[in-house]
Amino acid sequence: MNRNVLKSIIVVSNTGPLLSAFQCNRTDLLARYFARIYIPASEVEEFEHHDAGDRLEELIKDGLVVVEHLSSAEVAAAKDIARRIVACPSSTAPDYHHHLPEAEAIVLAQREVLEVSRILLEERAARQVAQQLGLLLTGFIGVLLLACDEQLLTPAAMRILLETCRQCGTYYSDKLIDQVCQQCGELGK
Amino acid sequence: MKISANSHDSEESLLTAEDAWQDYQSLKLALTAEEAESTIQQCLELPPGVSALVRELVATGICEDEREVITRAVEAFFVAVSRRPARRRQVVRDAKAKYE
Repeated sequence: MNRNVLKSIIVVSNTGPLLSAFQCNRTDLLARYFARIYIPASEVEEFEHHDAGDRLEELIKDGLVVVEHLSSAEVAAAKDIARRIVACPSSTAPDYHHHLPEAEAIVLAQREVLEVSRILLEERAARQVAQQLGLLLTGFIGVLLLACDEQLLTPAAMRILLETCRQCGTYYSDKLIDQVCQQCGELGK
Repeated sequence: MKISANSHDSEESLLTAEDAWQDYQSLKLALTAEEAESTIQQCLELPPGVSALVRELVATGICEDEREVITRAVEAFFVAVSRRPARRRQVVRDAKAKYE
């Protein structure tokens, strides 16, 4: 891929995709494709809770990750979005507080001045609401598939990365891992 | 240091392989569009003297805008250097139809 277009996309990320990148030690792929990754300030605590505070700090120092505080109006909007997420049939958590991190990321992605082109989000219900709001989506696996397309990853290497994430607790099922590794193989042909 | 589990609590709550494939395609499309735009930008980064000529052709009304200057310049250059007479004649015919 043309070097000029790498690092050209600005995104907002929810905790999950960044944690997955930390877990399998492939934040380099995020740095390859994304110019900047905004996260809501409330996510910082969540990263610390998952023992990823130091790794996040490194990305902040490198300028890849930028932490943004939400205004009180944005926090109120996030609560409304969290309630919409709860109302989705695919939502598995009945308490809207559980969805506040995703909702805050969605609100941040809507802040026009940041010129965000998409949101990194992996929870199905939150993705559904983000799509209803007109946001473009991707997840960490989408980034891995792009790396497969560039011949930077083989299906075997992808499987190791996803299984490493799973060993750390990210719920990637056998079926999901098998299917996306197959997709990776198709891209490599 | 091992990064602990994130908040995904079940298979049902996470994206599917179809979602991941759409994510990949959407990302790929965005980068392809960026690539096309970058190529156009590079093409349009003309030397200062040539940029001045383009502006002059527009300012004097010979061409309607920069796009027309570049289009006509490319067509004229093609007609001048192409070794395919039939193709040259076709380009001339198309250009006449456009500008006359």
